[in-house]
Amino acid sequence: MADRSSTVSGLLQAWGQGDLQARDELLPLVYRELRQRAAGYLRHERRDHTLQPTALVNEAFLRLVGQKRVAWQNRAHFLGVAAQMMRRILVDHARAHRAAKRPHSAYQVALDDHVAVTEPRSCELLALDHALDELTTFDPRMAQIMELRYFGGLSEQEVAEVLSTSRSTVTREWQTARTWLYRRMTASPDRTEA
Amino acid sequence: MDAPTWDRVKHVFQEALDSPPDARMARARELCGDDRALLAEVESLLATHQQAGDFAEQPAVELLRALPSEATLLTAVAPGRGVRAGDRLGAYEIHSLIGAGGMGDVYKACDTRLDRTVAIKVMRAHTGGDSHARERFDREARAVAALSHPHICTLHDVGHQDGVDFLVMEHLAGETLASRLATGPLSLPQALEIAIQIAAALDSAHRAGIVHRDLKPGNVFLVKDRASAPPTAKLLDFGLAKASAPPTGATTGSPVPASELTVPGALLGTVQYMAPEQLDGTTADARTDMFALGLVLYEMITGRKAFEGASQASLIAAILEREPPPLSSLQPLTPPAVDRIVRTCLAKHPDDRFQTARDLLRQLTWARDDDSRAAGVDAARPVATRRSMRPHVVWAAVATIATITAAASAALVSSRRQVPAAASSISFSIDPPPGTRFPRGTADMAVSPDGTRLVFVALSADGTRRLWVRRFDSVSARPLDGSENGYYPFWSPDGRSIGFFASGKLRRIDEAGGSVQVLCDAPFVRGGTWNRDGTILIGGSSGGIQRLADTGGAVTPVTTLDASRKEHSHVWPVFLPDGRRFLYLARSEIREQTGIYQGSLDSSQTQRVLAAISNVSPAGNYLFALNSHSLVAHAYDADRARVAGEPVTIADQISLDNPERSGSAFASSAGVLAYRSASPDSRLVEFDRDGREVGSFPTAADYQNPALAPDGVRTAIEKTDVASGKHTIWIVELARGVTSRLLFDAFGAHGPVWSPDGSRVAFASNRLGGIDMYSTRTDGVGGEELLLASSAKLSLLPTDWSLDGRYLLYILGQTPGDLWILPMSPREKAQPFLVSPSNELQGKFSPDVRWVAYTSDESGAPEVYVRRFPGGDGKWRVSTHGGTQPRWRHDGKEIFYLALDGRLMAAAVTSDSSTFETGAPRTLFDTGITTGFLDHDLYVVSRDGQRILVNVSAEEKSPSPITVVVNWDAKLKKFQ
Repeated sequence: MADRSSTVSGLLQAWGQGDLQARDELLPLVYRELRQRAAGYLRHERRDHTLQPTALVNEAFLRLVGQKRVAWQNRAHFLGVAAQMMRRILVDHARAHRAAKRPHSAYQVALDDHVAVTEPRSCELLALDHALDELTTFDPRMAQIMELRYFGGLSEQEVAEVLSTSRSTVTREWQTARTWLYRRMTASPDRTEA
Repeated sequence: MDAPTWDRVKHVFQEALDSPPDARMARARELCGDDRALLAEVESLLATHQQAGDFAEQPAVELLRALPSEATLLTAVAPGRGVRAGDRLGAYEIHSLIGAGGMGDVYKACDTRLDRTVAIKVMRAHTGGDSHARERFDREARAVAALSHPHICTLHDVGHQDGVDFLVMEHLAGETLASRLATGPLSLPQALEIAIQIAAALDSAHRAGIVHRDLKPGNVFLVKDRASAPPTAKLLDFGLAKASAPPTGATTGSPVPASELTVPGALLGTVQYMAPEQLDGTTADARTDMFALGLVLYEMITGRKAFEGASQASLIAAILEREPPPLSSLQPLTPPAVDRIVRTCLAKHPDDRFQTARDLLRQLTWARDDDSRAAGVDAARPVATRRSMRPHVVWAAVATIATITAAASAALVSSRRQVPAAASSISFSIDPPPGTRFPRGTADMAVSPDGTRLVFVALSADGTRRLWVRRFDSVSARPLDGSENGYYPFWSPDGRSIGFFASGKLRRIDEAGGSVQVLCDAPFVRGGTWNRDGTILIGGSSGGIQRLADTGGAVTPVTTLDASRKEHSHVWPVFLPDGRRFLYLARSEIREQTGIYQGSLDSSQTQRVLAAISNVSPAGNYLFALNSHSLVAHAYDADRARVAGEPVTIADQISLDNPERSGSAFASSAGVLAYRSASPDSRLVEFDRDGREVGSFPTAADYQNPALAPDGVRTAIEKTDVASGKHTIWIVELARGVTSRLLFDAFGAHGPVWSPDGSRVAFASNRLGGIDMYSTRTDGVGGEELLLASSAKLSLLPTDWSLDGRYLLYILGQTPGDLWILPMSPREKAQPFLVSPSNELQGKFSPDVRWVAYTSDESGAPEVYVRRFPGGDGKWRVSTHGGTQPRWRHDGKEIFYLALDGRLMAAAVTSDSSTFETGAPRTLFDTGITTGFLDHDLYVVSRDGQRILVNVSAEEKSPSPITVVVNWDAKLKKFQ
């Protein structure tokens, strides 16, 4: 445990100094940690609604980065990674949930009111995840903003801080991403390859 | 036409979005011009944007919260076991679920053996088959169960059954503070009462070495006994608490990963109530609980959380970086004292908070009593914390100090109008002037006779002492020119002049400025006092109290040492208000004889007042004195020279230095009390010869007397045992960042020295009553051996073990201490090495065991000398302008020592079998530590002489302020 904690802060630090490999090594660690946290959290949620949704990320941060003071300086990095990992976890969770309910089905789902009631929202999440992958291929920064905002639970201002950009830029990109994703998810199959 | 590029689409879409909704389409057409493909794409997006509504506006987690989530979905953590009514856990029969907490569900249950109702908490996460985890769980539970306090929910039992871990607790009726707060804020008296109860509970827990770490309104239970009675608070859930002492026998100097401190699967506290150091991931300690209590108090008074954020991340940022809105901005009637208490609790850095729950408890008690007594002074705002002051905060602080000091002056005036009962007391802080620091807790401050000013000593960055005067109606202090190197200031009765000691002379200086007058030679002075007739008394480190005129001239003795009591000096004289009688500290070779006596200019009679080891300050019918490390007030009857009743503790950790030598940091006059309490902790920092910091040991603690092992890796050091409060010996490995405890009993142990092979450590301890010398094996298998028993109440302290293993050098007695030799062969007896009326201390063998370096004050100032061993003949002085704590380099070619101003010096050694010679000492660097002629060692040198490990006081780095209390007697009323 001690090893892991020092590893993570070391990786964060290395990444902060531009070592991209450190980032890649960090991902699975953050993922594992968040996933463990998420399990307790999602189970916990039904009993105690006072918990903050992003408690997970913070807790993972505390556990992973442990006792090292370097941590907070790399907060932006960590939030970015955590958002990415939260996405993975939530998607996994949604997938597991859907699997428990019924067999696999196509990811496109209608999002009008009627369907949303009958269709588990977990499917919406899966659809969004796919669409976001697609967005990443041609506008990675916009996808990242989406990820930070939607999966990481950050406010627009915080996203702006993490990405060192202006809040107004974040707002515009966010609106665009939302719109594009919504269109992508609600599009009829014949438009998906457009 | 080609499909439009995404960049173009995005650009136009975003431009269009900037227009009002009904103008967007038009704007898009305008921007697209002839490009129909582009326009089509943008129009599609604009339409979608309208449809999308608040799609994805809520974070994804929110979406999943709505899911009926099965525990089976993610099974990384062991599932919590369901417990139902009628189930039995051991002797307990479950009745009903009564609540769910962060760590588990709570059931009402019946202890079938005692037929009493209990509450059982079934832990959500469990220790499973992990025996280590279970052991820790049990250990923590046992520690909590050992707490018995009216404001701590009693833990009766802990158990495991079928993979379920459970805690059996006192069953309480009432509600949590969290649910009470949901209905709004509490009244101020009620809030203070509950805060006092929590602080009392924390004080008790902290003293037992247990830190709560998760204090929040949800963990405070308000017990309703009777409908009419005010609620009693009980602190719940020490579940996340850990013993603040490292686990016995383990090597835990390195920070323990958070994961090892908490039960797996449990949330690590609630971020809302976390302290900055918890978010930072640094170690939580007792002061973390102070922060949480500050948050709880804030919320009780205002009904609002001190820190808020739109998201978790911004909440964290707020806790780390922002100051909460002042209490008075939300509850204008909040007394400034309460505001200040909350501010102090909420200081970002633990060092800036109350250091102990007891301090906080006392402040709260005072605030409550003041609040109930007086309407309160309308000095709206608190003293801002010193760290993290941004410019506007600084202005606020300046304004605040001005307001408070104006209020203080007003209170002073009112007290002179003889309405003391209505006057409330006011506290404020004085920080070291910019670029300076306060000396460690020495008697270096004095309140002016009219109670409007404080003179104090501050040290500049280069270590130069200077006197400063702070008028309480001003916002800053002013240095006194010509007061360089000044010690122990005292005021003239008219408040215009200040007497002080510098460079071996008693001097006087006008507060308004002007020349400095030398009154007499005063080389070894401890304290002065000045009466209306122009008589000054001074105390000397050798001899009795002496008097002289405030214009200078002849010095004549006033008191004489009492040989029958083995007195060796009379120090810290202070006149009583009549200006004829005075108090002083008589120091004796026999500890029991040392104490405060009352004398008079008109009589040679003296009367013993009090057992004490440091200075006192009379104030009206009280006498402030040091008791252990606390400042206490005794009721004092000067006519009978007697204290009465139990003393009242005012503040902890007043004196950090050696109070017997340097006095203690407090002073009082005219209803004003000033004192400085500070953290005793220090850090081990490694420097190279140029003073560059090359390493440090991560954990700060109350370290003393480091001793480097012959292997150059381990350092034996004294550190406080949390349970007993006594110093005991630990082994520190700087490179690995670990500490391990060497001695496990509850007795104090001091002055570790290593055997040359590193297998044993010799030390002094009082385990048999006297202070004797022992040695023990360092591999932890025991083998403790009594080396030498002390006789005649003279203490022993080992200082070195010769590298040939044959001799132990030790100090016998205190003031004066002498150096003796204990041969390690069983048949030889201890023999004196250097015995004289002066002090010979800190002896160190040269590596070839031909010489001994030591410190002596035979010249009047401590200097480092070398003598031949074993004969003790020959004498070479190494230091030039004062020095202490000699160290040899391992090859014997260099001697290090500390100059009196804290500079580390080095002198090259050239010697052969018969002669000894050293080169001129040169400065390596300023260690920043203030040295006196101390018993304890402050540094070690690596074998090659390249690295120096210095025990740096945490106080040096972040000194606590001087606290000034105006109308302190208003506070004392409650205790009578």
